Amino acid sequence: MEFTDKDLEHLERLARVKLAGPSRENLRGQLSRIIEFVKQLQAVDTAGFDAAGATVAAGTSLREDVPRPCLPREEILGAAPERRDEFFGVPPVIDTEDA
Amino acid sequence: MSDILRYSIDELSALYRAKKLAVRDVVDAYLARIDEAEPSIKAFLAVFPDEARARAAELDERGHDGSILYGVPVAVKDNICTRGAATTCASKILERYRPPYDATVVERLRLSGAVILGKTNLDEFAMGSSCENSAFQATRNPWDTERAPGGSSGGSAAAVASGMALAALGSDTGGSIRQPAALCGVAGLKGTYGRVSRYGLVAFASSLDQIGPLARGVRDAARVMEAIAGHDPNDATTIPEPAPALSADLDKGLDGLRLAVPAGLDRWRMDEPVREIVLQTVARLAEEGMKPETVELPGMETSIASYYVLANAEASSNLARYDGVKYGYRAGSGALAEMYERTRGEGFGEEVKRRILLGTYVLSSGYYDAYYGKAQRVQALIREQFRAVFRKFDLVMLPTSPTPAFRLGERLADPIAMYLSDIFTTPANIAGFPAISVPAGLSPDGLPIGMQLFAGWGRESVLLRGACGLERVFRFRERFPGPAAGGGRLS
Repeated sequence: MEFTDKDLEHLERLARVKLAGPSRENLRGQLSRIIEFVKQLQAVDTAGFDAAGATVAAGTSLREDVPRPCLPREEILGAAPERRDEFFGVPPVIDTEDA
Repeated sequence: MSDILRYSIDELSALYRAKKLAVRDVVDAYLARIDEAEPSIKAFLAVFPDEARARAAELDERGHDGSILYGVPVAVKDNICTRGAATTCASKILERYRPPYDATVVERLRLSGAVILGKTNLDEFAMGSSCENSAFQATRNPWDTERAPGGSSGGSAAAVASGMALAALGSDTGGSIRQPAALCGVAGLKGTYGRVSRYGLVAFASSLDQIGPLARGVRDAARVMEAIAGHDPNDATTIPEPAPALSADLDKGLDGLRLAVPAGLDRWRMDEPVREIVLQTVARLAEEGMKPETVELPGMETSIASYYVLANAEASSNLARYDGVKYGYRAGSGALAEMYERTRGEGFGEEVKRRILLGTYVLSSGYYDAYYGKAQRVQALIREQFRAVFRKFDLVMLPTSPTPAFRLGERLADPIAMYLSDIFTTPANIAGFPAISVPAGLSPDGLPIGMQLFAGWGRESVLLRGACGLERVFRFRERFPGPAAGGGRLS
């Protein structure tokens, strides 16, 4: 598996991560090698084994859905890079010139 | 070097009870050791001298109330939330983050009477095996400061090994407690998946992550585990039972336990001194009437391959929360999508980005079943194969790491070589059973080598009993008194 530049661009967009110039080329080669390495899984015979439910062996325990106090709003908003009144502030989602 | 630093948890406890020692003196001794050794080790991302001294005064005032970790100075890995105090995950993206709550394990440490000295360095978001992926500093191995302490809980391991903390918490997703414990000559325990609450542990791969102790010896590790383990309503994956008593059987020895070593040890790549120590241990145990049998272990390499698919898939999803909106670093202006991409591009380091992209790839349309689905089926197969192993045996003994500590920078360019550092440790995460690393001996270069034990699900007390038995065979701390880092020896 050889990652092309286009593959990498697609992944960057999906993951919302922008890679900087020099590290980009390096990462492309490394990703190709790692995918090559994990490909050995294809050779394992897993007939009769189900993917579902494999992750949590002990199962999960449920509790009553009782309302409890949550973390103080002021404290949570105080950690945000940008707040507007009682909201998290974000840059424009829609380009206003087109709107 | 203060004598105080030599006491184990039980010894400290006895001295506190007899009023022969004050918590203040112990905390002062550890803070002095940090002043002395930290400049050359760089194990901590934050030290809390004022809080630790205030806490010591409070404990001295109260007197020993029987709490399990009364007056025990501990360090906490910096991916575990401490209310109001930086929890950075060694990442630029969380550099200024102050959690509004304590992790359950931190709450339990406090309730048990422990004194938190500071937060320890790690590979960014616990992704790595050398501590070199920290955005802030590379921690040094106290046995040889030109070498890595292992990772990702390298700061915790180095702090304990150099006497800067009596015990520490780490987290283990693929070996991140056991591998640095082995490379630094301390004990490191990962419990059964669900034994310790993950509430407040910054998530890397939620189905594999477990918090656990690093300590100088098995008994101390057992004490810390007793304090932090047990069901937590805030983590639905915790085992719904109280923490088991772990210390009761510690002295019963290896006698009567069914012990196995993996067949075909020579098939696996490992350094000669590592192989040598396994063979010597088997011979020693045989002399003492314990005859370890050999067992065919499920494919270690497929285990690590499935690990890198599953762990990165979960990481790509878990790390989606760092978007520059709710907390942490934000970069750029412009439109929302551009802000996301720049924040994450600048905020995450290389290894983290590599794993996010890899995880995104194996979960993406067209590849999901071939990689992620397949890795899950391999995981189910490996779990089943280990179930068969643990029907026949109580314990499996194998090395923790294929090599002793490697030189700083040596493996940075080759991620797969770095990943293979975890070849003996990932099966315990993939299958979810408990495992421990015990310091076994030194290589000809004077570097620690760790021996690992696996036990069946929920059988931590058998695991710790076996580990204590091995510890008596190795007598590591008596034979090798400790690192000379920072101009001071522990002995």
